[in-house]
Amino acid sequence: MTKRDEFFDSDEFSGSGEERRTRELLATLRRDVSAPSELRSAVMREISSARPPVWARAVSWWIQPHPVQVRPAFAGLALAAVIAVVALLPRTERPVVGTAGTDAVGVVTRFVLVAPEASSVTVTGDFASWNQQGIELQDLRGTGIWTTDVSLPPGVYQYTFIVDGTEWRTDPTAVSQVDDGFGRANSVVIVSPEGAA
Amino acid sequence: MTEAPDATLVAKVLAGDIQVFGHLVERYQDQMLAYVIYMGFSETEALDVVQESLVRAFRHLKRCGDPNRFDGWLFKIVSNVSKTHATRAARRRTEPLESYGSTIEATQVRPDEAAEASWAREQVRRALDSVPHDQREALVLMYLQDLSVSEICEVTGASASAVKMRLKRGREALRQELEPLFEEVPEP
Amino acid sequence: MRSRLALGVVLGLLVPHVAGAQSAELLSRADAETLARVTPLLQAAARDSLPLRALESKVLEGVTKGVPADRIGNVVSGLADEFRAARAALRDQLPDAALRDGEIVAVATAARQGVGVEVSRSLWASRAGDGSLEVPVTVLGELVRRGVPVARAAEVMAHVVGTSVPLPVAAQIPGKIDGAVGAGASPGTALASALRALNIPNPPNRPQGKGRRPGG
Repeated sequence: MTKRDEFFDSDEFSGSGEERRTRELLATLRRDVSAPSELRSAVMREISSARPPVWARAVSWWIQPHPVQVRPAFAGLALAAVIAVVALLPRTERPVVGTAGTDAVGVVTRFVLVAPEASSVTVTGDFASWNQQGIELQDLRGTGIWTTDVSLPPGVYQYTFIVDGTEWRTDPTAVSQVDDGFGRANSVVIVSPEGAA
Repeated sequence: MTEAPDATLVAKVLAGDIQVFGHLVERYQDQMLAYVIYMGFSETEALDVVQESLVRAFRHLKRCGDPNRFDGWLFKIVSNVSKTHATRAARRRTEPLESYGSTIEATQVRPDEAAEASWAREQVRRALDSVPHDQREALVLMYLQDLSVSEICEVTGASASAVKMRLKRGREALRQELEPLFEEVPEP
Repeated sequence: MRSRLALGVVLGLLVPHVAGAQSAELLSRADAETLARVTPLLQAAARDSLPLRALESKVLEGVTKGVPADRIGNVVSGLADEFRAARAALRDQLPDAALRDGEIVAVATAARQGVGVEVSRSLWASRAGDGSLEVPVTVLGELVRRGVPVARAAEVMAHVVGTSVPLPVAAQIPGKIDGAVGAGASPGTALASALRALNIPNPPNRPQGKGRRPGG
């Protein structure tokens, strides 16, 4: 057995780049699947009475469509879809936090964190003088999607979320994560004139 | 009752309380449906496969060796049933990929994002469909249903080394299928 | 208390042009040890016209994160050196350009990501107007960080600034690359795919990609 075969057969292979790539690729197919209520009743009917002929059973699904509810799972591309939804929500009715001490025209920049388990989320960073409290995010109708809009002069900023007042969490949707020099990572947001990324 | 462990429910059904089987159905139907859909079946076929599997599980419940491992045993059944349906399904795969949630995503995602995202998904789906059944099953169970190698052994009846070999071959097959689509742009 | 006041006076003198907002914050939030450690660094930085706000922000960040004074000092010192080098290299070839703080920071950050200063500097030559190059240089760094060869990334960004592609559009390139790479594309192909998706024309004299076009 060559060294290559030994590697592929070993448990270390499960941490390799190809394994990770496979995981990421297949994750794009992930969905939340919900069976229609009719499935349970069909099963119970069948086991409670004499078994109908196979052809009859098959036909019932084909001629009476009972749609399977397929929703994107909160992972990978589907997460990007969630963020895209929130990013497209109208901004006018939401309070916008301004940043002090600047003359430049601000661009409204939305921060989003999906954290269903959290009871509070704030964001802090360059634009907030790394204030410990940070700027509060609001939970969107109890969905666990936390957002806030901040008016920022165009530029590049480092920031991080603070979950439940104690946990420093980077933004998985940020354009970049950088080493903060202190052993942690900061997320990066690029605020362009007329828009943000 | 709905929080009772599988073994308790299985015992009640075997003792004659048929209606209790409905709780087991509700507990596992979503997961089973997901497995069958990930394996490449259309929604309609998937419902058929899952119904047949559940009925079969009921009829052979006495054969479930360890009621505490009911889920592994149930998945073994759906694995077998879907394998026998596989040939029929492969030939009928002309359905568009709307079954993968694009109804919801199409209305919410920006047009350019939806195009790229669904194109990428389509490529991965096609590649996965072209992988041989046993390898595809191993990939689905591990990467989409988050089973461990030993759990996959239980469902498929294969040994650990066989499962690892299927995973390895499945990954290679996926890579071979997807790589030609992403050729590097040549330097002038 | 008296040493704190003295430092405060020094800091106040350092940055007369800023309304003192951030420096005042530094004074009120940093402990004496941290202030003692960073004040000489900030003084030197002010003298060398380095991005002071960025350095002060790093101090505040360290204070909030509970970092010991020495480490804050080391990090800020290193950062100042990076800014110094970036500024010097830019000045060398662009003696008349008005260098913005954000641009110097972006060049230093890109250097960390593998983009040599002379490469970042080439964007000044390509620039159509005189808008800030902070965002284009940052995007350049992000492309290289994702595996796009430096020369190719520089070519694309030179084209972006030269033809005045809107910055909000250019800033989306890295995210689009991530989407394509996530589906298995190589960085070069992902870049081509990202440019197509954003309707940014490929720079001239480049052949169009052979990869399949997404969408449809």
